Amino acid sequence: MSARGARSPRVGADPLAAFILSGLRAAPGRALAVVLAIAIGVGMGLGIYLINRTALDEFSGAVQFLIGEADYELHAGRDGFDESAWARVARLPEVAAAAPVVDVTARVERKARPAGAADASQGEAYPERRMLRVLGIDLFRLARLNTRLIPMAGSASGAAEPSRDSLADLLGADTVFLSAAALVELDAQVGDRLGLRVGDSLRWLRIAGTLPGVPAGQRLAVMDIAAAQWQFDRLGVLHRIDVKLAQGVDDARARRAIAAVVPAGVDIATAQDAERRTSNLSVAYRVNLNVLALVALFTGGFLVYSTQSLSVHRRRSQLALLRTLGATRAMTVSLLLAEAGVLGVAGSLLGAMLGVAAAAAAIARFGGDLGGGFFPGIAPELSVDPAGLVLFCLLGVAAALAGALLPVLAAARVPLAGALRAQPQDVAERAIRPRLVPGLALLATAGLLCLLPARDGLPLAGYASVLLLLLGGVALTPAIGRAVFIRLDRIGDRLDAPAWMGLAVARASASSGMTRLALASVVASFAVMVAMGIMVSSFRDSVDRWLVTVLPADLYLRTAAGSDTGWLTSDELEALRSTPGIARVEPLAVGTLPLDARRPAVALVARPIDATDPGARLPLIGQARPAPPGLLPVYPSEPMARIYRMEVGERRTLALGGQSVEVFVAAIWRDYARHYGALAIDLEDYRRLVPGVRVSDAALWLAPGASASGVVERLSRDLPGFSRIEVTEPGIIREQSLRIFDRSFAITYLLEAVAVIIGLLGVAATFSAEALARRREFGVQRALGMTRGAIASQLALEGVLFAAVGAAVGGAVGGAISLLLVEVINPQSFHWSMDLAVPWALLVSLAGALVVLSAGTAVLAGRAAIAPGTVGALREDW
Amino acid sequence: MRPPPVSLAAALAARRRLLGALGIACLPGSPVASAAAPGTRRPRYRAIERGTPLRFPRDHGAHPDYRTEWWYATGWLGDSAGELGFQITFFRIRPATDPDNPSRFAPQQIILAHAAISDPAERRLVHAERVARAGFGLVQAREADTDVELQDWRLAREAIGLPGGRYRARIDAGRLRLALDLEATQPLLLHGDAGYSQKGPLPRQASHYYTQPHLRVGGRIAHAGRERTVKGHAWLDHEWSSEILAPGATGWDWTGINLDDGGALMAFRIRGDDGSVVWAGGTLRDRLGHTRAFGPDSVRMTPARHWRSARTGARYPVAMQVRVGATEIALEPLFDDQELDARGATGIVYWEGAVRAIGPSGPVGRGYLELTGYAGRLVL
Repeated sequence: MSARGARSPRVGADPLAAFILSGLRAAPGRALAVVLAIAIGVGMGLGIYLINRTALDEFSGAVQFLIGEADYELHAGRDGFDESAWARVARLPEVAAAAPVVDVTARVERKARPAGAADASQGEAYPERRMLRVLGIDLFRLARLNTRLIPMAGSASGAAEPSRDSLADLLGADTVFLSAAALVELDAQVGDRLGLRVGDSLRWLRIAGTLPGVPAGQRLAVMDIAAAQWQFDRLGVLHRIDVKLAQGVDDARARRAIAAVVPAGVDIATAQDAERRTSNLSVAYRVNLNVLALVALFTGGFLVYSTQSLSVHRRRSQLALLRTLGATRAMTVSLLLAEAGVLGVAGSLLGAMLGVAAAAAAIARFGGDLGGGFFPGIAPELSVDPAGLVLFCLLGVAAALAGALLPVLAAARVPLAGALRAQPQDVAERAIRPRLVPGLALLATAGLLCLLPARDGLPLAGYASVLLLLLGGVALTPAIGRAVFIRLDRIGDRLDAPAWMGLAVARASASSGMTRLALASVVASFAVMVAMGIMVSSFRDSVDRWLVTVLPADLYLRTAAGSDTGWLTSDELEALRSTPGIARVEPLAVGTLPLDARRPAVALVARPIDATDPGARLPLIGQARPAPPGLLPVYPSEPMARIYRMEVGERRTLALGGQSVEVFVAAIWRDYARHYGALAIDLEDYRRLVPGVRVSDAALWLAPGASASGVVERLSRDLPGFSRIEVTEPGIIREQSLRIFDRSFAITYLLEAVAVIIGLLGVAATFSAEALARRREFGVQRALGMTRGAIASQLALEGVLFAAVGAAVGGAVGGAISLLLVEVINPQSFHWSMDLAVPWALLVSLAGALVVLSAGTAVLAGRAAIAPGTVGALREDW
Repeated sequence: MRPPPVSLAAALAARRRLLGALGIACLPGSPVASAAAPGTRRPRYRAIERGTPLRFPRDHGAHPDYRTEWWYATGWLGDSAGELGFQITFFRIRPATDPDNPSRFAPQQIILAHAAISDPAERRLVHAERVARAGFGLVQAREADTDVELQDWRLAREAIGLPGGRYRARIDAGRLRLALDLEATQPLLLHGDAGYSQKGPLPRQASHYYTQPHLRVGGRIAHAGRERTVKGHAWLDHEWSSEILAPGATGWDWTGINLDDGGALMAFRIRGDDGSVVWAGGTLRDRLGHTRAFGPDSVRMTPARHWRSARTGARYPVAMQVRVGATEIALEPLFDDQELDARGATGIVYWEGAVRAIGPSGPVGRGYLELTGYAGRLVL
């Protein structure tokens, strides 16, 4: 008695497990598809998350490490500020210690081993561009704030070099100390000499030791501050002062005291500000990628929805049997959810592996910003954090469960008796008239949400709005489909169409639960496709047109490309101007303008700008307004204008060249290169404010009849040092830019492919679900004399109808979403606008392909039901 | 137990290496390199020459052409609570870097300061130190007269109304503050040959060296949350050189004693790698003001007792028997642990302590003993 009692629960559990297994086993392909879809979503999300987290950790680690124990970091832009501010800050009673820093990134062109000291002026050239960030420090001052930047003279092995005066090395005017990562990057060792590009000369520095305190992965060099000022031609300039406050000095008092003695434009930032700035640098980019991952997860969930609907549908009688055997409704629900959960767990685990592998591969290949350029100077190693891993796995499982919830609940609602009669025909659901209210409510909410502003610089409401639009569209589809099909039915009747056509329309209009599924799948997938297609095409089109406007010249010369020490000397500019074949030379200087301690500095672009016609050089948005006399005209880019709320015609005070300057916002221009903002200013105006401005780039216009190659050839012959200058034609810059663009959007193409598969799977699921049910139907039709071909045509037409209606609704929803992306989400994330460009050809061909594939899928899925011998199905009874 | 972060330890090690070279173990100046590439030229240090007369007050000031220089005040102070020793030192170092660097930050001169008190209640040195490059009006060693500034740390001489003037020393390191005025009561004591003090077998291995003994001290000292008014006597050395240690020398022992009878005694020996004495010298001024200089043959410093530092492992001869000419005294430290361990700041480790001088019939004076180069091997 007791033995039996103990065994019976197990007897009860086994059939349940067997039930789940049978569900999975019956359609292993579909189970696999679900697992894959979830895996793709989880993998993408986790991968993007891990890549970003790794890069950001590393980068903010670098920022924190550079700040050390300092309370403040006083900094201005790339041009720095006058060094006399340091002595004033150091004298303040509020300040316990103040360390001046020169911060320069220079290109390393050559390397010489000590053995070749005789011809060290040559050395060997690096085949690729190598950059080195060099901090010029005052060892004695910094030692009180940040011991980790203190260099160690001599080789890392610690071998004593008695002949070497280590103090002279540490304070040397031609010595530099490299972090381990920098040594690896430059393939150099202590004792080697590096040739760094500074203007038109090469400065040779001896690697006199290492930076043992610098964390692994940070590429960095340190040298004496005086040496840095001298060697990099930055005499009189500081980029940073790290400040430690005296005990008991409060923030407000300290800021007041410091602000009174530093030039205008020097920013007083805390470590938190710096961290925030780092995170702000990439937050929009990061979130957008993560949202793409969530789209993948959503599609995965949708796939679960469609397969689970089918699976539940097929096993309706089994479920009913379970119920009669005593299983409660709640039990069957949890049973089916468990089944989805199993799929979700499998998909999540696979996705986690995929994500980690993809992140590791991407970081190794492209670096932590996927080539986005947000985090220079670090070589991160992937750090997998368990919390993120668990979170994304949970998201995967949640998506699977959410996808399964609707069909499972629907199945549980079915009355027992009807289900037991084994009529797969959905009696209960057929009676339900598609409802309009939930869908309309979703759409209305979406419409309201998209009006909300961004939160913390993130278009969260916009994202929610996208999701609701998608759900609303899906929810409304049955009603729309029904309305369309009923109308079609009437038209068909009037036109006296062939029987198979009439039947197809009639079947379609009798929208069952399963047909709803087919429609929903098509709508969701096509909406995703259309939205992304339009957004990417609009963006690409706008970028392309922007590139054409910002590259009006025939040739472009660049010297800096990521370094601070490449520039064209005034002699070189003169030589360019007098070179035959060159009609016009427009120099360009680039600086930075920190306006907000918590945001990345705005780029300052100084180039000749005709105040009467700024549109000749800048792709203006709206009209320009002439500056009143005495006010300096400036031209903020669209992102800058949005971030700092600047409007054309407005007066502002900006800190330029250490002084407060009254400026006039003369025009706003479009810029896709710097989403944290750029300020254009006429080069002559800038030179008046900042003497000694260095020109890093130049645009050349050719004389009539001159060829670009001829001019380049003449320059390389006549201009010494021309070899260091990069010469590009606008066409090539444009091509490269678009290639980078396409690469960064490659992931959206993958998502589109996934979306197509989901749509087709939905169609396939519907038709295979109904195939069995319709065997008798087809039998009757055959008996009535319809050919198999006619029945196949009927199925194909049904597929076409679903796909067409789905594509129409999906297209509308997708169009709306793309509008949201273009008009709300992009401007809120990146602060730039773009013009809508609909890729009609692409969309129409995609829709066509979907319709054709859908027809084929319908026929394929239904082939079992119209196979020979199905006439016997008439006799079949359950 | 967790080991300290590698980076921090390494950084400290780096500084030890770096500043071990400061002041104490300076290398001979390297010859001038080619003037071709910026940054590669080296300064040419001026050599000490015998027969160069010292002129005051100019020679109270700094001598930036020489490699190293120091102003070194040591003395005994007292209040109602008892006696204590103090030391205030300003070093000037000219590093071997390119003198052509036009940067205002160019490290043409480095100023370094140590301050310490030997309080028997503490049984160890309480010290503070600071180092910075000269410039921007914040840090400098003036040439006209003694005036060395390291931001708000300062040692300056005023000539007003007194035979030898008055030095004002100000040190504020937060937990340790000294504000002392040191008034001259006697004429200057020039060592060696009229201030030319030979330090090695070669004539250029020498310094210019004079002392202001028997300074009368008054002022305030604060540490450990306690401020006290003190009085006492001090000894101030001013010495500059470009080559103070002969090759093969590891360090020196030095003592300067204010004798109770008004006389003054200075003795030093320079030790070689092998423990031998490379050079020695001394000066004795008797109570009547007669001064005699002694060479290597007439000066003996013999360790009488050693003490090992648990911090650094260095073993110092903290008690010594000193003979200068016919005068023989024993030096007994105020307490043993007067090691100045500034590895965390300037990197210098040596023993600098208050000592009593004891003659055949009891105490004869008080002064300081300096023992350098004992922790040298440990550093590397």
